[in-house]
Amino acid sequence: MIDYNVLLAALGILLGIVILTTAAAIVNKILSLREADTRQATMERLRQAFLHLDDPIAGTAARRTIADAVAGRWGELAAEEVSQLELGHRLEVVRDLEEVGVVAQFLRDAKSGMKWTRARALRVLGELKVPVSVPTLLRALEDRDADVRNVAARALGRMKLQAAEEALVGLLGKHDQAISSRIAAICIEMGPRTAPLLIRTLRDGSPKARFWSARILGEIRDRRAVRSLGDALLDADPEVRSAATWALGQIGERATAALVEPLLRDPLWFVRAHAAESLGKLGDGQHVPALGESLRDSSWWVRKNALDALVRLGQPSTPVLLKTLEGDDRFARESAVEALMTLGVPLPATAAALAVTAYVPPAPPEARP
Amino acid sequence: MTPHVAPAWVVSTVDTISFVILIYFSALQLVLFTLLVLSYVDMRRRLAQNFYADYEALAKSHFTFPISVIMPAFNEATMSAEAAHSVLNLDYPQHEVLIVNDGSTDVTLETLIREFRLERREVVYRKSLPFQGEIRGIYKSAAYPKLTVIDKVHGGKSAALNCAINLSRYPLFCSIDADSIFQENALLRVVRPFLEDPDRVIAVGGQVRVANGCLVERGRVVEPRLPQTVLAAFQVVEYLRAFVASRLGLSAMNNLLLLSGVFSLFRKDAVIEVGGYQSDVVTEDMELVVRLHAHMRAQRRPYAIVFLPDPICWTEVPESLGMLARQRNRWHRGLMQSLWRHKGLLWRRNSGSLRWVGMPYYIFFEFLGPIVELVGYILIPVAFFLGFLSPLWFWAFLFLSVTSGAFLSISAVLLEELSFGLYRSWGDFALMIAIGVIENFSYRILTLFFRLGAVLDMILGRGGWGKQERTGFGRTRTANP
Repeated sequence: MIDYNVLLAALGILLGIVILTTAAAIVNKILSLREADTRQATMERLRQAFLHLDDPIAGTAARRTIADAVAGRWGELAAEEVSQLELGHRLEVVRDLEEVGVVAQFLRDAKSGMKWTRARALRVLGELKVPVSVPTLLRALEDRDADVRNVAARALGRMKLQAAEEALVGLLGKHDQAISSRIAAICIEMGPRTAPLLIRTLRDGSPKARFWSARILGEIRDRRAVRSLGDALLDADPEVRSAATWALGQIGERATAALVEPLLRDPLWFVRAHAAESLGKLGDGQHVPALGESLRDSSWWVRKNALDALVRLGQPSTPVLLKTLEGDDRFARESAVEALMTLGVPLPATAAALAVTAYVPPAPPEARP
Repeated sequence: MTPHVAPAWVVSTVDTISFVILIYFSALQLVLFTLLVLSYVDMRRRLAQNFYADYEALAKSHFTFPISVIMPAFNEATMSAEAAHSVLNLDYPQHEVLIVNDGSTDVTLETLIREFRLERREVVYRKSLPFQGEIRGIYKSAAYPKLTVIDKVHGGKSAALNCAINLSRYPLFCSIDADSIFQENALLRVVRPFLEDPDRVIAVGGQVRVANGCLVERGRVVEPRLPQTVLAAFQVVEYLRAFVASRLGLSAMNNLLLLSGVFSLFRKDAVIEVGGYQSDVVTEDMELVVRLHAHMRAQRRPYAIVFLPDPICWTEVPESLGMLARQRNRWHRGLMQSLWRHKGLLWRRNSGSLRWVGMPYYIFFEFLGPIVELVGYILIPVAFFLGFLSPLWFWAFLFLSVTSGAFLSISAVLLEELSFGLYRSWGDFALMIAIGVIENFSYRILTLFFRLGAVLDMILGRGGWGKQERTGFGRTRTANP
């Protein structure tokens, strides 16, 4: 059926492959241990060089060591170490790196055809915080490769330079979820100084940009944004309405509760759910009746958030909750029992039996990812 | 050896069977080699991504999806509190921990109440998924607001998971076991695919490694080491081969039918949509993943079920033969049951690549593998000693089975060294290489018997879960590699 010589040759090759694989594993082990030693030694030399930066004699050699380390095999790690230096020394090192052409090399690498070369260059530039690299990094946010875009976003986040603010806000909503959330996170880290730009975007940007602006403004909790967020409650895009409602709850300006309350009747459940959540945070007892009504909402999330909001509002919720016990909606009754127990209000005898915990939804689930 | 005189048809039949077995072995090795290459390519890409990923920023991000970590506990009094502390302290921006005391007969609940100063609360929740065993009480703690303990009548692991999913608040949930040890950043790493592609990714599994023998301090593995017992040491290489060398390759083709129940992250709405965990299956983790595949393909919706090599969870493996036998028997029955229940994937047109890759792989190599291999291991030597088979065939078979098995195991060790290099000492490295060779005429054949036993149990209608001794960390594990 088969030529035995061929069979023997095949088995011989297989044995050869096994021996080669074993040899490869051993060689790899030796190399990886050696590589770890080299990395440690490089980092050690780098730290020693940092100590001699101010030394008029050893300073030149130290600068050369730093430049070699940043341009070398462990460039990313060396750049991370440089970023930990105090400002004066860091600027000095960066100037040296510019002078010897290391920065220019990384700027060139950032345009390389090899994606990991681009990624490496962007990461180093981000760690070095060189202002001249901002346009390159912003351009890299539009890179064809998602991994490179991620590294660019990370690098910009590390830089936190004012020069990047406007460009970053301008890019909001232009990318996929992962990059947009990274840009948003950078804006949040930059804090209130991005608020004016975000408020402008909330008024004039695309729906996605308006959504992200509202989210960031909510995270920053900048009161200057209240008026624009109030206007955004009427936005045609439900995602923007939802984000603005949530943001107002985050900011916590009690007076805005009156603006939020109508959104408890929004046609879309996630807007209503955020409205209920925000009313709880805004702490205005006047809206307890409306939240009581929401305990009968068709969406479970709205009912759940309304329940949490009523508990959060505390004692002013009691009359509404007691009244809910007399209603015909089972979930609302059970929610009222739970809320009253949490608030420590004694239950009427007729209601104690309602302390059942489960609710079987009549409709398919509608939780969003 | 003097050949016995045998009828021509016997010699011919033996010859044909031997040839089929040899072809099967060769095909299996070829497929495993292909998966190994795919795994290598995917692993290098993912590790490069990780090198440039900013987990520090991710940990602080307001836009990282919150996660509900679910931990079913049945008679885990010795370790539930420690495990809960470990999970509560995980480095993650927003997560909650739900522990389900599934009708424990020991003091699991009392231990948790005392440790976390829990108070009974009335909670209204949405019963999106059915589960067996009613809830006796729900407990929360003012000191640990992230923690919820659900005390319910015993209903099994699936019921406990479904119950906790109903009470969970967040859009993603992660099922773990009470004696799992997470590597630092494991949750941040496992959530990455959801952040990068939130519309497609519905489940992500992490890598499970053997914790026996490792140095553990304050709920963290600080120094991975090989176990002291031979049986556990064999499983280290076996887990490496299963996770590093093949699962990654299947995941790259979106054909992975199994994510370990020890450490998997799911999109809650997708799991609720397919009806949650089934209580009438032996391995609820595999059945759920296959059902998710079947559902999404039937609906023609884009989706991805991903395995990642870098989020690592450490788990204890059996150190006694009896426990190992029961575990492997259960896994193999679970595999057969899941494949049988979703056999339609083989012929439905909308099954896509699962028809040609995933299902055939699991049926021909994972399910039928032990039968064919064991027939080979028994029939070929018998035929040789009876003189029905030429010495060349016999030695060729033996040589092929040992060298190809050794090649895959050593490659898995090499892949581990190339990617993580967790086992630092030369002694551990040498031992893993040696195990890669020795296991082919010892441990691997042993597990074949366990798996064949599962096939017989299935045919004879025997089943059940087998007794699982869960008496504390370092004693017993049930992770499915």
